[in-house]
Amino acid sequence: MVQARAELSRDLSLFDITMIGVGAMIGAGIFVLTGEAAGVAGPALIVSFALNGLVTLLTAMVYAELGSAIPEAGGGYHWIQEGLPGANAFLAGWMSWFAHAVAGALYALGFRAFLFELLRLTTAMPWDEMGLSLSLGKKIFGLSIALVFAYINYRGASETGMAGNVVTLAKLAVIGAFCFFGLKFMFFPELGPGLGEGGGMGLDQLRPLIPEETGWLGILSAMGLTFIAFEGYEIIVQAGEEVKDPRRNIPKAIFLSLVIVTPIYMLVAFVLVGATVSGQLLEGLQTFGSGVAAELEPGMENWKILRHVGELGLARAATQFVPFGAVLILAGGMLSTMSALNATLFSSTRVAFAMGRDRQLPDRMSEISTKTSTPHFALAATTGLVLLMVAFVPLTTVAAAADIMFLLLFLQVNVAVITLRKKYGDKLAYGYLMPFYPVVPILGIVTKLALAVFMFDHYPEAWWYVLAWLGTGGILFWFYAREREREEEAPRILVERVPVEVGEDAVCIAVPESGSDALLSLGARLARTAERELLLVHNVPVPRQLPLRAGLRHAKRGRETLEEVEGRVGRMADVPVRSILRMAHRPAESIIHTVLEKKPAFLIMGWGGRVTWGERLLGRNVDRVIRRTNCHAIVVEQPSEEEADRVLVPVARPETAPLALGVARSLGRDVEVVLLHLTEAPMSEEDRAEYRRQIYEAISGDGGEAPELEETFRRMGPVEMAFEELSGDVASVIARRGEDFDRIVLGTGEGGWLRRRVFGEISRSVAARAETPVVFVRAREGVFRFGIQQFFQFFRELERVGEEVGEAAGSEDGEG
Amino acid sequence: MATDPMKEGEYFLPEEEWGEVDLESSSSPWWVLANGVLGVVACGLMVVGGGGPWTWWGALLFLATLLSFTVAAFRGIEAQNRAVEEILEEEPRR
Repeated sequence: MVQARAELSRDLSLFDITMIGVGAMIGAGIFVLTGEAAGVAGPALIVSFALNGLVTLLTAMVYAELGSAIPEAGGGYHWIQEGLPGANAFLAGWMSWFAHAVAGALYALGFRAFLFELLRLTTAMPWDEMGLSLSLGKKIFGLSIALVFAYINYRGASETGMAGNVVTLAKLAVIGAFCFFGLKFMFFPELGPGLGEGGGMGLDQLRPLIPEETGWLGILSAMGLTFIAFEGYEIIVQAGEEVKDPRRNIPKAIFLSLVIVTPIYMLVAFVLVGATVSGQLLEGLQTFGSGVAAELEPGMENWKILRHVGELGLARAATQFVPFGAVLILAGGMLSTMSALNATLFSSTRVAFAMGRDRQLPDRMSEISTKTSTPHFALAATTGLVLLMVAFVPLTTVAAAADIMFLLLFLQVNVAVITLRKKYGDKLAYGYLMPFYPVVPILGIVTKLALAVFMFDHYPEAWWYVLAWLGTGGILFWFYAREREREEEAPRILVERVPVEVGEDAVCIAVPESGSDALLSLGARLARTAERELLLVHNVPVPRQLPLRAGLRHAKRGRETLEEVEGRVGRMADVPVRSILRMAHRPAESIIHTVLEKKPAFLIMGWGGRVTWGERLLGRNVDRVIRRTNCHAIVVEQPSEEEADRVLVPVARPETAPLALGVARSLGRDVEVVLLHLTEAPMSEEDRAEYRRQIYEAISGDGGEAPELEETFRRMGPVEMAFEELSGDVASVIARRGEDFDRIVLGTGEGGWLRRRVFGEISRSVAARAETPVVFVRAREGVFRFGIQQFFQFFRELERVGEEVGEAAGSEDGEG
Repeated sequence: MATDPMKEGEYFLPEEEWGEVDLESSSSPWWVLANGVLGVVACGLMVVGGGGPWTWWGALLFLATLLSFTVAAFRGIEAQNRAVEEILEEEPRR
């Protein structure tokens, strides 16, 4: 018997992964820090963004090379662990954990500022007269936001896939509106209604590009401050294990995300400084009672005022030239910071989890909650860090501290790429190799180091936090982690990889944890009849908070399940059996991937037997598999362990009968099948005879839609047919007639395919009403028809947004 | 048996290919170098322009360079992947 192969189910496309990168970047960089950075560099902020783009490209090439060759969930941390000796890996993880947590604190502070501004604009409460209580209120509010998202992470939400893509596209739309109306205001104020006074200033406010007061130091300072806006490619590689064709898609996504965000940043800086009227900004500051307004004079450059507006710079600017500008930008900012806070909590928790797993932090860090399957201790520790930063550190310092940490982390990765090339040479299957090696990583090291050191001059307090964290890390490593690392000898996982060669047109069974006998005996009989191999697929579910490879911990148990099931199948029928063990975040994905790869003729799945709400028919997983695969699909209601003696097969069109009959015959030994045809009007004897003839023609001809089951039909002999005139709705009649049978086999055929989508409305109603267990059968579609369905399915995919929100709420389907 | 995460991840080429593969980038070095130089020149133009026309020509040149670099990188990625796929396809299936 061939041992099952453990495979990860990769479900993120190039688009998904690019959106993850873009989404991670467009958060703090634009909404929170642009105003602040404009105050530091003036119009030269455009140059700061361009230079940051150049500097980032150096390390992006390094990430693209390593990400294409070693697409591990740990990303930079993992590469440093592989490539650098001693304390480096510990410090990389330690810094990465802190950097992401601090970034989370930055987003919590940004979110808090945006929400307060929105409340101030839309409510009549005298926020500005509340003095100290307002400041305290803000602090409590910031802490609450962080706690709320910690709880959401605890419940198991993550932002990938369609939901994440929609959020990212929404952010881009808001930024697009800001730029469009800003450019119009600058160059064509006469077009359409103007919002504020002024406009038509062209490029006037962008001269001189580098103000004397700020000079080159201003440019460098803004680069340091906004560097965090370019670190999204770290998040791309962290999702490496889930990316389809990672050797190709990870490097492409890294470069694509940079080529998308760098021009956007430059354009936003251009519009912010070019279009904002300083007088109105100043009025805003005075109106809202800021103490610093007294230092400012009307007519001074807008960027000097932006320095005092801080994180609200973009929103205050938008009020001048974007319809509903403040609300739009604030909503966009809240959306950005919300998703970024969620994502950073997610990634920093993963790093802490990985460090616990690698015995660099206490084992508890890698402990998984039995209730929510999330690494709860790692999350609690991460949340504690975020709360500390939110409570006690100002926003600019938080941003600078995160920047320094990322700079140091990237610096280490640049060193690691050199040592990894030495260590592995040409042994690795690289999907991208950087040109001018080792000049590129050396330049990366020099630029990162220069920026980090420069920041000491401008943000010394941020450096103190960083040094304190590194010092604590050093002590922890020396007295704790070093010893534990030495003790780490035990194998982490038992995995043997044996590629599974399966012929096409096999009979595939999605094996549940219980290894249901009903599914196995049906599959074994079908495989024997159709003379096909039997392919068993078992999924090891991996919580979304964890990298897929974390599922390998449970591979042993999954493999035991498969081996036990293989033994049972062997006793049922003498058919060749192959097994695949998959790790996936969504169970449906592992089945879909198997069907797409192995192209089985039949797919057999279990179903929990509960009719679910709304648009869903048999639950999220089963519905998704049925929609996205094209083979004969059979869904067996559970529990229905006993073999069937009598099976009812309602049929509307003769051509759908063969598959349903073949399946019905395979539900037990010598099954008695009754084929039921319901009519609205009485049928004459001649009509009945003609219908019978059509049925037998479909069966004895080419097998109709199931030529694979020809052997079954040959052995089937005469099939009993019943005709019944409808005396109520179809579902009720079938459910009532089904009471005398052990199973009801329902095929497709009612209504147009667009309307019925999966198995049909009638099937759904029968499932809800029948006491008898139901087996659903969907025949394979023609290639053209399936293609059209997939086209429309694209739009249906939007439904997944709702489903992912549902997942976040921890809803359960009860499906098998 | 204990496995090395690197081997577990199947990141390696077949052993018989070790020492046979060229570690040169598939991206055209001259194209990348030209883009790098032009990128720096573009930033220089932005600064020297002082907010005048040269600044904006510099900005446009920078964006064009960024795009051109991405095209070069994509071509390199495709070429590199084709080479790796050729090697992996030659390896008999286990």
